[in-house]
Amino acid sequence: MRGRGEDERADLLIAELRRGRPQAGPMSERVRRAADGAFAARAVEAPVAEVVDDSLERHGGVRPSAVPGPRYVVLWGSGVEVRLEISEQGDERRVAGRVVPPLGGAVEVRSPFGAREFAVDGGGGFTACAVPRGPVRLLVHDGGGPRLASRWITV
Amino acid sequence: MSDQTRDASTSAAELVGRAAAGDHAAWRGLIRRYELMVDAVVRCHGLAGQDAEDACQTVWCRLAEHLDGIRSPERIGSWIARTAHREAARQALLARRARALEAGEGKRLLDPVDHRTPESEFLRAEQGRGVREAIAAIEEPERTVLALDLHRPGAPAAEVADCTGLPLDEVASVRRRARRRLLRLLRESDTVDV
Repeated sequence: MRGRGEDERADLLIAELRRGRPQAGPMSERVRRAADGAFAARAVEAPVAEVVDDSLERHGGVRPSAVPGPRYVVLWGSGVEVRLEISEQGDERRVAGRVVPPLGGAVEVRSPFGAREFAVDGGGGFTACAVPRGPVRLLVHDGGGPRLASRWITV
Repeated sequence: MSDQTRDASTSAAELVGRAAAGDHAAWRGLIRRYELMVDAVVRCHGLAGQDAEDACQTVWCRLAEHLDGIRSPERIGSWIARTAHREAARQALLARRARALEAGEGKRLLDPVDHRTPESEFLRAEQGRGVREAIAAIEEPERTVLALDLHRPGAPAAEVADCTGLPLDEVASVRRRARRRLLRLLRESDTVDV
């Protein structure tokens, strides 16, 4: 009998929690275009660079007031490391990075809505400005095709 | 609302196979099949507005990227659910960070812990925080069952099974277990006193 009473209390709790909560709805047109954009651009012939460190995750349990400054992300794949420093500027992001070892070429920043390339200097450094918030994918080019591609990450 | 959008005659595995081969209609079929679940999961992490949109976008981008490497296409629903939880949790951290940075720049802190807010709003915010923390502590498949229970009430058992990988005849018992677990966790955190 106690179990049944507990179930009734749990049912009442769910009913209470549902009040004031939004019901799930279909995606917006912008999300639909993003999904279609990612589908159209899904084929990337390059090894994957995984996120091996993300300061966002390290600070996950800390109160927000203790998280000033840029977010740092490290990607790694096929012997190449890409260090990123991501700064918020309203709805845009500035992504400063370094490719180690330096490969020359360019870094392509893809969003579901398009792509832009940013030159890499002799030391492997690059700066991508006005990157829209949301999912992005980075492709490292060494003069030929893409040498490395990250997974989609949210910035 | 969505049963007209779920075509039961086409299996999830078939849609995955066709989408991986480049069939855009099958891609749209996957979206129709799981978009409400993705939204429910994102909402249960307390995301709204642009933050919810960013998390949803990333989930669909990850699915598009993953299409060619799916080993168990018949379980794509639970893969999408796990991805949605992970991306929503990450987006919640990004949103907290953005609020902290704004506060540091002297802008108004839109944090629920604001002593000037009316008590009812404060309590609602505390309840929301307690639920988010409880959901984060609950594992699959109960976590996604709860997300649907809270944000998609009345979802057919077949849809819950499709989104979680549960056998159809286990959905009701898992939902009961998930509700009781949520109640227990909210009691332990003093979020509820029932």
